Amino acid sequence: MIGDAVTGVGTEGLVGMGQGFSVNAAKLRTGSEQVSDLQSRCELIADDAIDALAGMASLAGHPVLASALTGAAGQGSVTFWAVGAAYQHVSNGLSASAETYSNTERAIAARAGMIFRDLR
Amino acid sequence: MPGGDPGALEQLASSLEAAAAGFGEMGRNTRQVSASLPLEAEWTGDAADSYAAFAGNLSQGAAAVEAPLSRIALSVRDYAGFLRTAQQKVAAYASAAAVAQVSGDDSGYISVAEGAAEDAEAAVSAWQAAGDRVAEEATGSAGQLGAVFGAQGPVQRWLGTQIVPLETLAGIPGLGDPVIPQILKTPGAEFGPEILKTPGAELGPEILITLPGEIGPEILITRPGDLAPEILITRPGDLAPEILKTPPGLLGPLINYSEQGSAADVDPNLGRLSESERGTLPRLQAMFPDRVFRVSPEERDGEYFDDLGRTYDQMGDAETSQYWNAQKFFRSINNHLMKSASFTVIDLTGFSNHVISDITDYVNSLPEGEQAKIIRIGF
Repeated sequence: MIGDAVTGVGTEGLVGMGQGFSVNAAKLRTGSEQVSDLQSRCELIADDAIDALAGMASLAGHPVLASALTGAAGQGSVTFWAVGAAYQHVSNGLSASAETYSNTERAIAARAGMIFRDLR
Repeated sequence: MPGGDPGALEQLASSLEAAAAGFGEMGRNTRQVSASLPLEAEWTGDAADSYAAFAGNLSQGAAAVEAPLSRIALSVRDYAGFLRTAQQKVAAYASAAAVAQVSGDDSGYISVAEGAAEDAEAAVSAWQAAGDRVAEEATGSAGQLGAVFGAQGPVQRWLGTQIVPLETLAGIPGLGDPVIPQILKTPGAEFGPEILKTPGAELGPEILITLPGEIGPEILITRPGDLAPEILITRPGDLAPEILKTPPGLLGPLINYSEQGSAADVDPNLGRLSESERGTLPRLQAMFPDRVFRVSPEERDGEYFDDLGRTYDQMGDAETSQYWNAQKFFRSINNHLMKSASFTVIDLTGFSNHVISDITDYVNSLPEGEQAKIIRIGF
């Protein structure tokens, strides 16, 4: 939340936000990358899981079990997609937040520069 | 001899166990990141709170995938043991029977063969029961996979606003009314352009089309609200329209995917089948991979026939099952059994558990000769 009163502008990535709190945008960017890595890992594991379930279905030799395993593979596809999409959403959200806070920092710095230039 | 490959099943169970553990680890890593990031970034406020709630729910969801996958892996490993034993016992019986025959029906060898037959019969029964038991376990675990985020969590609420990719969700009953088309119509015999589905009432036009005259068919989709079409799949080198195929699944057609194929893959009579009859076909094919199924040209020959000329009459439509009338359905089973088709395929995919239970009880009560004519799918 960006408050009304800006309490200070720090070094690159550390943005002083309203109500006396600050945000390290660089850390948010790092967090976004970490979550993006988790998403990639999720996709790899999901592929393995689906391959295993589908393979089990084809090798079960038992029609009822094969049908159930195919159903599990289908549900797995949906669930794994959802997990991956949620990771992407978090990663994008962190990246966008970092960008927003950085832009705010730059805007504040520019504004402050103009104010102090006027005072000289 | 029971089919299946116990060794390969055990290997796949190991792969699934590894994947399950991977999800558990991901859940823990996600929890760590979600908890530490706001502190490290000195991030507070509404946005930080929303992030923490969403990421926390995500970490729980990822971790929750581990248990059902592990259960399936464990159960399948257990089943593989029963399968191996059954195969060994049947092989032992076959061997003993052959020896007895060669011996000129020597009573000693016959006695050994009879003992082996009993062992084989018991092992096959145990294997079949194990398969049924593991199928229930897999179905229950699949249900848990569908609820990893909880019904009211922030991730589930957010997912409700998302467009799910066609290849993931298309055709799955019970997932509401996604913005994208649910069922992709399987093309008929035409080789020209084919509009698969143009949904109404959406924000933007959506047309799935196989382009005319292209050597490589393309499926184009314009998602609602998009200004331009998006190329979803391009299969260069295909000579025939893409086949959107629905593989079998407990809940109905689960995954629509494109398959490269020739014109011969498009059954010219497919258009005469209803949605439910079309949906059953790949499930039937998956159940009997050694048979080749085609759509019967005439209704009197049932819905499908196989490479040996046997005919298959289909019944079961999840859409109509919501108006469940047990006696009417049972009468319908009887009527189907009186028809000339070699088999009656009862497909209960998408039916509720209590309806499936009712039908199972009824079918089990039929004479063995009639039961032998019934192929059960989704029971």
